[in-house]
Amino acid sequence: MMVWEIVGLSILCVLVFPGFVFLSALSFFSEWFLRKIVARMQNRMGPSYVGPFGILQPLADFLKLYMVKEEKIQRYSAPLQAKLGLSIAVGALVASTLLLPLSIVRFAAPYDVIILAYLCAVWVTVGIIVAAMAYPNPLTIAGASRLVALAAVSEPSWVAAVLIPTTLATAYGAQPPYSILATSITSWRLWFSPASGIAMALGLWSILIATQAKTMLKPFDIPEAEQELIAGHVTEFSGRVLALYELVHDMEIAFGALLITYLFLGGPYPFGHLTAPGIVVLVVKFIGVLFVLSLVRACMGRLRIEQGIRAVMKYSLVPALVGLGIAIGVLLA
Amino acid sequence: MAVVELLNPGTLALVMSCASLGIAGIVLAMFVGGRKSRSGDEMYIGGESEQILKVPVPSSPALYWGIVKKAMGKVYHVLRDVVHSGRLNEWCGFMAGWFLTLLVLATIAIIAAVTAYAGW
Repeated sequence: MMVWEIVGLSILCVLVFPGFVFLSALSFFSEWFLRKIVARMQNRMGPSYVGPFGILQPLADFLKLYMVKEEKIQRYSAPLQAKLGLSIAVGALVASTLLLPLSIVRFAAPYDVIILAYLCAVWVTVGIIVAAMAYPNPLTIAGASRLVALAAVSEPSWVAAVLIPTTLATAYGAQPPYSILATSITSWRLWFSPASGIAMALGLWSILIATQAKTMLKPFDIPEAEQELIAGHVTEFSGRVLALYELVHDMEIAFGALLITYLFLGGPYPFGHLTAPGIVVLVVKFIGVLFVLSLVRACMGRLRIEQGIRAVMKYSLVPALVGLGIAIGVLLA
Repeated sequence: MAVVELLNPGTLALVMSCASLGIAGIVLAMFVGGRKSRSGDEMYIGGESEQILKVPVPSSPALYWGIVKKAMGKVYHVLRDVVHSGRLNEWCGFMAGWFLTLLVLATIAIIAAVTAYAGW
């Protein structure tokens, strides 16, 4: 294939599939699924009117914010800074999808797990904090400070959990080493050995909690803290800024669930990538991950900030470090 | 048919950064502009005025109630635990204790008044 053809395909991947358009659609679906499932668990209807089973409600909400709702300009605010921060977060999440086997042009390099951590753990969080700080307000600052405090434990936990399958895949001879693509393709094999199976189970447990905390779903909705801080770092967002923030939030959930599906659940295994049965299995696993996130969100109340930090350290960081220790042991053995 | 591009880490970091920045630029261009509100440019502090942020110390009523709540907190907890414990005999005991105290005080007061009146 010619270089210009690969460049053209790559641009198509970034813009359409599995890039911006696809990830946006997947984000809207994830939001609908979470809202609907949580509502049914709480004996409510959830989204019902827009589209079949209300599936188009998140898109309608987004379009309303984007096209109709006014953007409130606060005296001290810098809306462009907020939009820039959130745009960088969207860009980081969209670019990360190119590392997964979902992409038509699959990018891989030795140690590309560091690039994933750089994009997802650093730029997404920094983007949201930059957006929050663009609206000076005591409630916003309180929310942003809680966000930083929570990210200080949830992001290391998430990175440690992601390192478990990549280290194990390298130990099993996947090439290139520490690559997201190679790990995604071989992750199903990692469950069949006792030592690596235990490490994978610890990693899966850890990344589910870390994703819950990263995406600020209950019981970790501490930075937003409705009623307590009005809406925390989101208090002053309105119109297009709020639409963009909601998009980033949903993209984080969708990408997080997709990453867990590939790195821990074997993606489309036992079928091949980009085959019809493989896609069905992939969708079922993806929905399974979303269901677990929804279940935790529906059945737990909000923790206080110190409780949240302690919970992430105890139930996510420690298991991730233990799992990583086992994975390093397997690598060295 | 998927294409696998195996790059070196530096090149991949560059490609990912460029893709990220490209999408960020497109998204920013999509979200710049839009309808702006023309009314009110104050920050939203749960309905409070911005003036509240300029006050160096709490207002007198807020300070008074703060101290009262702080000082009387323990008393309130004792009362709540004893009187509103949900057990009838505890409530009876508490009320009987108070009535007894009042009775003793009243008796002392009457004796004192009678003594003073009689000039003893």
